[in-house]
Amino acid sequence: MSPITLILIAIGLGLAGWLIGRAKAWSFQKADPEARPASRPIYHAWYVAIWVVIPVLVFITLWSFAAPQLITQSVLASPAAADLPTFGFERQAWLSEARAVAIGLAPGVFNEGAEALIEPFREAISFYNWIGFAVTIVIAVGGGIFAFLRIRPDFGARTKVERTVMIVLLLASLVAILTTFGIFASLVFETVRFFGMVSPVDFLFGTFWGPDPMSNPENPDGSRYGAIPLFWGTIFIGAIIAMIVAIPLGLMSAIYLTQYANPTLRAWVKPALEILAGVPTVVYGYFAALTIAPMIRDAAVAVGVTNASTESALAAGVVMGVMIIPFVSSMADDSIAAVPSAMRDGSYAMGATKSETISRVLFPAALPGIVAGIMLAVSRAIGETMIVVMAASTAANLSANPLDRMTTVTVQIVKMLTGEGSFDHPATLSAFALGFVLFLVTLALNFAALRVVKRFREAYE
Amino acid sequence: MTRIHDTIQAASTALMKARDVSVFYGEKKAIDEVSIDISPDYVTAFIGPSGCGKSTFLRCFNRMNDTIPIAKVTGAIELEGENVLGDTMDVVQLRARVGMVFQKPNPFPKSIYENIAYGPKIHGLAEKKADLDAIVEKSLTRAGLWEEVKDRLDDSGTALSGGQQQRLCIARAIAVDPEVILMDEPASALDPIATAKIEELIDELSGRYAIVIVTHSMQQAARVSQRTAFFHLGKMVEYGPTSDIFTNPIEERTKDYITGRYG
Amino acid sequence: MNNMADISRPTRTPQFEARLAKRYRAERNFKLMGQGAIVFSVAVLIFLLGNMLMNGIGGFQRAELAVPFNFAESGLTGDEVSLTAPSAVQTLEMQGMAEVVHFFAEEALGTEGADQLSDQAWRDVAAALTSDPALLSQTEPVLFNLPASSDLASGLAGEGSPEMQALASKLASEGKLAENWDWGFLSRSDATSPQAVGIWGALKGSILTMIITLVLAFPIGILAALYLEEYAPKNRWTDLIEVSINNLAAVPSIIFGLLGLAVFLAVFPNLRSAPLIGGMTLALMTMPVIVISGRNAIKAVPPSIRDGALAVGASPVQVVFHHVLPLALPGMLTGTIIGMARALGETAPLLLIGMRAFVATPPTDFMSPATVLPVQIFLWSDEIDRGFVERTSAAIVILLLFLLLMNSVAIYLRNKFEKTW
Repeated sequence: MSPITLILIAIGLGLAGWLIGRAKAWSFQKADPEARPASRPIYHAWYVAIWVVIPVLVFITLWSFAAPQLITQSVLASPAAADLPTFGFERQAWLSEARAVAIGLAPGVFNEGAEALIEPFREAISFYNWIGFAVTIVIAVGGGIFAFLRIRPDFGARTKVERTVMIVLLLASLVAILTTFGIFASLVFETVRFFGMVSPVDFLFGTFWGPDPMSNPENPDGSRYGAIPLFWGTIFIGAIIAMIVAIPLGLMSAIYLTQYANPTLRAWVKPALEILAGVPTVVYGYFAALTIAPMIRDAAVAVGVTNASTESALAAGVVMGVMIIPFVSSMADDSIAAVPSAMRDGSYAMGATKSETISRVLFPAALPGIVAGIMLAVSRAIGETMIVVMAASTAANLSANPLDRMTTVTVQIVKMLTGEGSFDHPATLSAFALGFVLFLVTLALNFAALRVVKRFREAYE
Repeated sequence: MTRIHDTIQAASTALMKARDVSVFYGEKKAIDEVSIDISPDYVTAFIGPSGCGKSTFLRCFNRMNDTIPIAKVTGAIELEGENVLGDTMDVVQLRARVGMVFQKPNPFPKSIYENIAYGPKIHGLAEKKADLDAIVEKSLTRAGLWEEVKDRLDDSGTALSGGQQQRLCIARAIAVDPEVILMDEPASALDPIATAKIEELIDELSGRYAIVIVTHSMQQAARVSQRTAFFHLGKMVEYGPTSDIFTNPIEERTKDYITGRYG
Repeated sequence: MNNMADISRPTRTPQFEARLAKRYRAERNFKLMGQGAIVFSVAVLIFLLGNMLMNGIGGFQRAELAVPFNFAESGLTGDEVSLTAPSAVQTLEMQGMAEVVHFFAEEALGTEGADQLSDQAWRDVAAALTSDPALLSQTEPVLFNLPASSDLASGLAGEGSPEMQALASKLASEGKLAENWDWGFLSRSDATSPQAVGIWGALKGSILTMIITLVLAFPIGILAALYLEEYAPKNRWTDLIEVSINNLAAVPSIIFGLLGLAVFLAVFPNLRSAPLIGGMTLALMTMPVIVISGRNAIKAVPPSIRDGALAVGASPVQVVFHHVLPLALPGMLTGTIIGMARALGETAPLLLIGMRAFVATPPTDFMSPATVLPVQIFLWSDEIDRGFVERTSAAIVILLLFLLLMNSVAIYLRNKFEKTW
């Protein structure tokens, strides 16, 4: 009996409780039509429903953690488990297979030893299913009865219900804080563990990156964890090459669309730019790897540069820049539109051409907003993963040549975490340290951008 | 039919001559066949109740109505034999010759120096820094602002008081040495002291520049102008020497407006 | 232009006129740059989409060999009951179905051709038999278009070894090998050969994951938006919540993957590739977006509505839920759909939490190993076999179509319900 079934049962019981509660409240009204009850019947109904459903939901959440453990424990306690391998991959395999057959997902097992575990699993699953069901019913009915008994004409059901609603709303909002805290805590925790194995100095200032996930975790070689090439690659691809593409194109698009284009053109091009922003990064990555990177390599070879890589920083950077164009364009659009039209009129009245007005008056006036937009764009670019995973390299190169291979922070995070490494190995933990640095940098950029925009707004108010 | 006072002669020094100018906003006619001469010999005031179109007509002289897509201007405005409203007129040059000061001071978010230097820079009027410095000083002096800001030319233009900002805008307009200066209610956003300073300035500037001022204050028109045109519902109702308009208006509508029947 | 040069007026000199010409040239160039920027951006978009479409068309087709299969002579046994049981395919496998298919293929195509039949091809015949057991008694041969091996498919496309290309053109000219529309692509799951892959496994995984994401992110997001806009007092806690949400909206998606790895998988270690975990991770990522767009939708409802409701004696909760929420709902839905569209295309966080399983059968529920469409695209992109290029592009086309659909619905909602108060 899956949690979903239990939840549905709970909802069904809640509905029943709702109807019963309302019926009782109606009976008060019939008995004494003149008196005004403290709350309308519908709130009594909701009161009962809340007392039925919420305790059950709490139970179901806890049960879905506990039940699988209890089931496995009871199977392990049964005599058939004596033959089970004591640890490792095989043990897990036998257990999973037996469970799969017991549930009916698989017709048979590959490991014969698992055969014996099927029956114990069936029994345990059935047993605990009934227990879960029974407890659900008991809690639901218990809660319902408790609430039902409290219904009286003078009972302030509405206040209680509304207070519950407020608490639910507050809890929903706290999820955001919880998530931020969760991110911070998990990153810090693992990073601290990492710095216990590799010194922060080696990490932040070392220039060689070549972790070996298979090496002995007891004696990590700090010199292999120098993240400078990663930081450099990230900046070179995301903050330099991508921005060289995105800033001019984004700015000029925004300027043309706001100052020169007629409404029809605007109506077609703005959605097109939004589409550019909406294309999933995995598609960009594939496009970069499949089409752009070979094009760049062929062009480079044709010009005489023979050692250009097919995983060049240029390929990844250019495609990333194209992806970022809409961000820059829309921020620039908003900033330029926010410049008071009195500035524009003043400049035209002086006899300035459109381009002079834009470049000498509008653009400088909109500069803070545009700068903020660029910072946000950089933040987006350095946090980008798929384009670089698919088009850039995993080779940690410290080079200034855009046709060379290079890797970034995000690529290494993926690489370190999608291998065979164990969770205690410094190579795996380094991913968290990298993630923490990335988190801090993007946070800093976002804060700075916000401050710039705030100061900008003050200048006009 | 505009009532033109007999004392008005066709000024031989007329710099700009508007003839039968009409302005349409889409289908709506905002200005109906207005004709008038502008000369540096006298300050011209446009008065009338709000919405009568005086600002709209003013903006025809430097073709600022071009920035409004639905606006259409017909008729002719001659500037030394060339029709300002025609296709062969270069708008950029026109606006360098016909300057404008707006109702709400609009200095650029740049330094005082750069505000004044804007016009000369884009029009290429000064090749050397020394020349530019001279223009800036001359303009600020003519606008009566030099003494107050000469030590802080690098301060932002927006950091000045309202009255100073408006004088800055006037200095900015003067910096390109225009022939005509259009002023659209230049003092309406200012306090009385600043207003007085502006009016003083207008007096000093007239003669070198042909000044046209739109104002909703009749007293102001009486103080600063020598000729006044009264507008009502898009038509120029009456035009004559300022003193005559205010003491001896001929048209009923003019009389009603002057005496405060409506406003 | 005016010919009278009046030196006393600097704006009427010949130098001025010359400079004017230069300025207009600069103006023209500037405008051209703007047009160029737009043309370039739109061109890249068209290039990208066109590229995917062109490559993807081939992905909806596959090379198939025509094999007439005579059931009556096949020597296979079974009846209504055994052939519709869940283990029917395995039973047939144990009866040697693969060899039987190979036998008939040899008859039709010759040894060389039969060798180039995909090694999973017999499953197509098995599937037909289990869905229609009456076929077993058919005495007339039934024609099956079975997938060729990926080598032969490459040969048909003009790539690969010369022998394959020769064999392919020979079989093709005999009408035994053809590129057919492969609608099975939409119903199969992952496989090792590009001839046998399909996207349904990944698509179903995406759908299951999206359901979890929606069920978690939408209520939490909307309720949080309501709280922040309508009830939250102006204190430091509220500021903290707001700052958290704005930050979360700007955090790179890969960080959420790290969070999912560190927290969710620590709690549910055996659910590594499950849609439940993926959905929870994406929900955390999507929730701030829903909150922000929800707040904007709520802000757009004018205060007069609230004042009116309060004036008739509604409680604060009633005001919000009976009056504000219904009016803000279209805007909230638009923002939610856009947020979900973003989540649909996300790859990096799901890679980290392990949703990169090789999923040969579609996931059965929220806890079974699954993958999602963008991850499937990523995994296929790594494959060496050229045949995967077309399949990957076809999968991209499907993904883009879904996104187009979702965004169109969002835009439609926005336009239909956008009220100016």
